Amino acid sequence: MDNTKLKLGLRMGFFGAIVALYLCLVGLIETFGERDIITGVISLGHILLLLAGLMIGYLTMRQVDQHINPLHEAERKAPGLGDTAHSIMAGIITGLALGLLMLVLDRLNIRDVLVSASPKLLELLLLENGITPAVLSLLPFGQGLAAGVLRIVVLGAVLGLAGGALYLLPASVRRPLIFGIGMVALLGLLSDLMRIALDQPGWSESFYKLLYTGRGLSSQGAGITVVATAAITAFWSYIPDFYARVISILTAWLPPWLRTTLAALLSISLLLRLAWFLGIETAYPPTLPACPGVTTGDINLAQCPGLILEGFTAPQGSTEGGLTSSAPIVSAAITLAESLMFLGIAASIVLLLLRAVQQASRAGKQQWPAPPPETLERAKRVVALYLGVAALLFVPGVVGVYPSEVLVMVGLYVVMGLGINIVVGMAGLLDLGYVAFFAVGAYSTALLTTVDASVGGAQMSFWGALPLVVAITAIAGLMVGAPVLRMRGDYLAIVTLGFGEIARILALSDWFKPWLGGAQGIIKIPDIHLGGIEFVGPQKLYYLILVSCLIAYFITARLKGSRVGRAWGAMREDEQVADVMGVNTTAYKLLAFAMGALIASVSGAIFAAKLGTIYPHSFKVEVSITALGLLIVGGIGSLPGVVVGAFALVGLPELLREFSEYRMLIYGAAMVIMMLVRPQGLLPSAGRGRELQGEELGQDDWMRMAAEAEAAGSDSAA
Amino acid sequence: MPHLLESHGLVKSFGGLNAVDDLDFHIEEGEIVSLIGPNGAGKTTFFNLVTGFYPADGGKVTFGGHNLLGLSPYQITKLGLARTFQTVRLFQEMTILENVMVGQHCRSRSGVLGAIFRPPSYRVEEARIREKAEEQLAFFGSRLAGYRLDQPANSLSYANRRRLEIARAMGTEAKLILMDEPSAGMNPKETEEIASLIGKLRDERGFTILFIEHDMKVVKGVSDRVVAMDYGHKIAEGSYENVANDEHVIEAYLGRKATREEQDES
Ligand SMILES: Nc1ncnc2c1ncn2[C@@H]1O[C@H](COP(=O)(O)OP(=O)(O)O)[C@@H](O)[C@H]1O
Ligand SMILES: [Mg+2]
Repeated sequence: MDNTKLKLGLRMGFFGAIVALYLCLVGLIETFGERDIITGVISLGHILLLLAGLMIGYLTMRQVDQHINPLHEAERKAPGLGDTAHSIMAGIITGLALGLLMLVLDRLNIRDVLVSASPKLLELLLLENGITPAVLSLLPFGQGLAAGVLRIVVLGAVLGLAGGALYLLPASVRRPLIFGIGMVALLGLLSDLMRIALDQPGWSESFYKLLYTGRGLSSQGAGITVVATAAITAFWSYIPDFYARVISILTAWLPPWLRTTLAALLSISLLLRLAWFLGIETAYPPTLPACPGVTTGDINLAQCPGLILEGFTAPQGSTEGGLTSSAPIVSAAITLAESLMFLGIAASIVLLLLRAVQQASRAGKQQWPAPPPETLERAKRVVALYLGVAALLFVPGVVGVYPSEVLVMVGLYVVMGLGINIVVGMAGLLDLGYVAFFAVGAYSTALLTTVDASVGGAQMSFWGALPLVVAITAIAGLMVGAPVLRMRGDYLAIVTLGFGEIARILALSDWFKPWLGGAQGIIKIPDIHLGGIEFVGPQKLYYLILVSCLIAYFITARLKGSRVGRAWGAMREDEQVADVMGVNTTAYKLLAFAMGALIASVSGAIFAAKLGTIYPHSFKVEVSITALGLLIVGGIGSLPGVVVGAFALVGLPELLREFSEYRMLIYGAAMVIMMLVRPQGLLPSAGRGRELQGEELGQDDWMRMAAEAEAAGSDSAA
Repeated sequence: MPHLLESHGLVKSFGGLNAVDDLDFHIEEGEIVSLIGPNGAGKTTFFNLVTGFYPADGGKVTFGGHNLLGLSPYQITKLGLARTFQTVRLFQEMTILENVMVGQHCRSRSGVLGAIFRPPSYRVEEARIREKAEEQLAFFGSRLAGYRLDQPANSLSYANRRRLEIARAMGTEAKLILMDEPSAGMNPKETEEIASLIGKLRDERGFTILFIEHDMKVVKGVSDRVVAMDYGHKIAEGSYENVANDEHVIEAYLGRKATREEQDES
């Protein structure tokens, strides 16, 4: 047997053992053991261990592959099935470590040192916890400690083999599998959220019941999820084609006037529903009165098809609750518009069926003319835009209060992320004190709008204060920027980190207490009004944040491709050269700080109005770190990356609050893994992390050959 | 009529060492001048002084009548002086086109508001910047054109990176381009190309060119005038033949070589 490969297997095995022991002893497995993924079958803790086993098998195989295929070798030798022996060995070693841990847990009390080494952990490792008897009886080796140890070692071997085999599978099989399993874990994790969103009378309830039971997925739900996700993944690449085909048929077969009417009706009812939603005056927590056609319950647009149907038959719904005076008119208009839309859709379906029959009867003789490419492209874009806008507008209604709250937090960070992306991602100025701008935005909003007489603020309206807030924060940006103009890289990072803390400590200080309220902060910041709309509660604030995100996104996207963005880019890549190419780097650094601050201020302003009270505690360095972290996760400089990063770093942790103890641990691990596996981020911006192109590499071949010839020459000379 | 660029008594010292020492230099509009000298002679330092990279310790530099000393690099570039670097220094992660478009920065003016609202004036200017950049790249034939425009600069081969640096300098619409060892690291064929390129830059595009070069074939082929430096001084000046046969120059090269061999042995 190949000695190096053996060593690889051993090394990965020890690595796996350490990871598995660490997961157990730090308490992750136990805490996560409480959370069902598939009720009665597997908990999140078990999933974590399974994943560790699979990863070890997979990584061992990859190491073996890299060993037998050294870099720069043109001929690739695929690792064979026999090489899975190393994966199995790594798995067994991991299993042995866990088995040993079980023995120790059984015999010794080490809880004084390691709090998490509890009997509960032993139960989990014995696979006797959280598993229904029916499933338990399926497990091999029966019960008891010896059986449990044997089982976990065998499991290690099996997982090692599975992981190794996964590596050997072609990507077309591996991806659907991995995505399927990942989706089960995700849906299982989000079960609480799903219950809030879906478990309500109507079709959504039956959907919920199909997938979930208890606090996790049902076995049947897990099966459906795997199959459906795998199928979607496998056919993912065909979706654009399919979409194009559907749109092409729709544009070819439906007369233009019908399409236009449908689009108009759709827009009208979207807008009307939005007006309805925003027009309701209600306190926090909002219990929203019913939409037309429904008599009880929150507005839940997942039930919309039902709503529209009822809109046909039922008389006008009751309009109780704090509705504005125009509510009956709006509700009538909604019913009318949606009824018409429904008619239109029905008519289109009939028409489509007719055409399909016609087409079939004339099979092959004369196809319906396909629409010209420009029309098709336009139609594709318009439909996608409609779907996107509709989805964005209906999200808070569909998901309910708590998830909307999470979305609001995500949105605040998206805005901040877009701002810091200007400073760090576009201009390349590593700013660790970004929270200061967020704080200045929040505090200036608070001071300008609070109705608390003791502060003696200006008591302005939010909208009146906003331009001032933006201006003040931009000036703060310049004030931070000016002293650090000559600093670069690490020095800049440290100094800005200091500035961030200074801002918080000043707000906390006795010195500023008469104005900023010290530790108690500023209270009685009024809600945001706009016309008749009162932005109270996360479901409505969502829209405000959404608009801010869109504006911030628009601004940064526009800047990115402009002369200013290029100047920043040049400065980021090489400040001295940018200067020599004619960029006034001093001015552009200040501009970057000011623009970044300006965008953060909007986030801070909404934050202040949302909470109604602000105090220094909200502006710790963690905010800066998170804002920067979401850039790293998403891909520095990439705008969609900011959104993805915000969901990953702000959204997910909010949804998994019960694990908040481990938040920073997971966070750190995710960061490290990110840096190792995908340093360019999830959605890298163009140009980052790209390698030399093959053709261009070829042009440099002569250099390599010359160097080699020279080396050979000097060898022979020596 | 003053010279396009001239320096008098220029001094720059690093610690005790005068890297550039009392240097008088001039170049006329439309001239191609090459600057030669052994390694460490102070050629790059001279470029760095002229372009505002380093502050000078004494002397005077004027460009088209303007005093350059004390100006920032970007101001000097705006006056019409551009350069390339001895070790390629591109904006690696920006596209090839963007690299050259940055060169147009000092010839355009739109700011943040223009970028966000994109009024007609912005769009006209942006189109002009793009057009000019493409025009510079077209000068290099197919090497930097076509699909390559939107590739990141770090995807280019070494020789093309050097070409892109020249294109970027051209993009500033400079009167005078300073090139620091444009043929360094190139193979003989590419070196020949660079030589003819330098000629074309003057003849077709009207640039005045000052370049540092070690390859004597290139120096001989395209220079109107050669300036040789050693220890921060100008040691010879004139036609290629005169300078190549100058005893100071021969001594500078051979002498330096001798010391190097001594070092190798120790
Ligand atoms: N930034 C610097 N700091 C210290 N010494 C420098 C610096 N730049 C150049 N030198 C020194 O100045 C002298 C001239 O360097 P340089 O101008 O690069 O020479 P050339 O380009 O002619 O080979 C060398 O001795 C070099 O070590
Ligand atoms: Mg040099």
